[in-house]
Amino acid sequence: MSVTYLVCRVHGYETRLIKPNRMLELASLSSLEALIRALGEVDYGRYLSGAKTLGEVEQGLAEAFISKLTPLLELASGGIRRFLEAYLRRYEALNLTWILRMKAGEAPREMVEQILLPTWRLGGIDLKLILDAENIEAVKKIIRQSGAYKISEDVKDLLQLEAELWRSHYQRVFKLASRTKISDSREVRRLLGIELELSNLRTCMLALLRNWDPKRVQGLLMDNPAGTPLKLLQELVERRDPHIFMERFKMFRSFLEKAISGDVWLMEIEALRILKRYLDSERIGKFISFFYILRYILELEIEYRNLRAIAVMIHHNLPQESRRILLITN
Amino acid sequence: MSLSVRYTRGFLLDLKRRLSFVQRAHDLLEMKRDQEMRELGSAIDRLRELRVVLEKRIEEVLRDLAMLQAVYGSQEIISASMLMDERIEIEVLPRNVMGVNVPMIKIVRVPEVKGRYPLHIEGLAEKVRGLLEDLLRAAELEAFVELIAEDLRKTSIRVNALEKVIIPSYEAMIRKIGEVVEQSALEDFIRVKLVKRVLERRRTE
Repeated sequence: MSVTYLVCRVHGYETRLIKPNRMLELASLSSLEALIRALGEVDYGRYLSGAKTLGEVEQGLAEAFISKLTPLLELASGGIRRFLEAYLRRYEALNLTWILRMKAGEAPREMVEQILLPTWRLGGIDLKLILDAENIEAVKKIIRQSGAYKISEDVKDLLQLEAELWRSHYQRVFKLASRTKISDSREVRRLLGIELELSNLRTCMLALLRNWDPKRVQGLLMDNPAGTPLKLLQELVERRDPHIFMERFKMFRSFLEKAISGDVWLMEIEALRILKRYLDSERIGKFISFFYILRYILELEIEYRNLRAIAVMIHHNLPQESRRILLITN
Repeated sequence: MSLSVRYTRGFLLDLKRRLSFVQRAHDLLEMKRDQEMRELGSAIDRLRELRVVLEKRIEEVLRDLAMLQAVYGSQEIISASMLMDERIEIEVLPRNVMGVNVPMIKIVRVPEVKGRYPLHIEGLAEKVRGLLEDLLRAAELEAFVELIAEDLRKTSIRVNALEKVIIPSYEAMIRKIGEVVEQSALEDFIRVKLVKRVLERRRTE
């Protein structure tokens, strides 16, 4: 189907997203049952029916999130579909990092299965094969054979392996972004660039604050074709001073400050806020633009993360002020 | 106290020796009780301080955990927790405190956290590791308090038994035997006097 049709559908889907005010109301609920009831009124009902525990709510929300992404792939065709498939593999990469960690900890298969996002609906690697794999080496072999990720054979460090997965994912997405004929490709590259920049900066800042060896940090950084070159980042890391980053990356100051204040979790929230601000600030003159699809995907992810955060916060009975801090509503 | 009582001077002397031994034991037990009370008091103070710190730390760790779980989801926390394949190694050694064997926890090896967890989780992992060490210290102190308190209870019972039952009964027995022995000595003395008088009268006749 045409991009025009896909974008129009996306504009339609956007209207179903939960509004910020409603999200704040949900965050003020006092029990999981109340949350499940409230979400039952919108289109989350069928995913959460029967859910009682936090784990079940999280699973239901993950199901809903992936189910809302699948129509995008079904409606897309040609290069756009290939690009979207590659872009949505970010959730598969997340699954793979979790599987690798749990394989390293020799967790039973059922336990691993329980935490995964149902990304098989978005195509990609057959996770059953990976789940059946005996050990990490076997998992690495299957990932390599899939051709979706390039990971070197000699990497033993799990964190570096995770970085390789993400590096390979972004390389593929950038490659497809430049190959595919999409409108607003400049904005798409810029969005991906910001995403990667924030990820690299987080690695640099936290590694410096936690006094990691710069050599090890370099192995975790990812090349960013639409952002700060890897070499420059490596040089900055060598200088071992987090304040240099604050000076050099003033536009991400609010993000970097969170690392210094020690509230690591707020970095993730701030990163999503920056991305959302960028998406909201980009004024696209036309109604039909590919950029809207990426915006919808990010907004859907934000909605999923907000709802998941609300469920966890209700479960832990966190105070109302903390709940608001962790929500991405603007 | 079951003793076959003999109303003799030798038995009285033996009883007095026993009483002085029991009194020395009482004094020693009293000293032990006082020392145990001091040890217990200071251990309870230390435990109370440690508990305040521990509660604060637990609260902080739980808050961090809840925040991380809320932001990254349970999957991230569950999978990251699997990255630690080493265990904390401890040795529990006996330590003798005033005759009481109390456990002493020696931390042999604490797994290294740095560089093993994703950067955003490493801080929490480090806090949990610190918390585990504190929990072990608290466990050691709690066991110490429990065992010393139990021994203090036994010592107090012994001190009280000596003070209220054994020593008074020994004293009463010594008093009674003393009276009997004195009485019999007086009777002997009078008997000797009478015999002497009879013998003198016979000699003069």
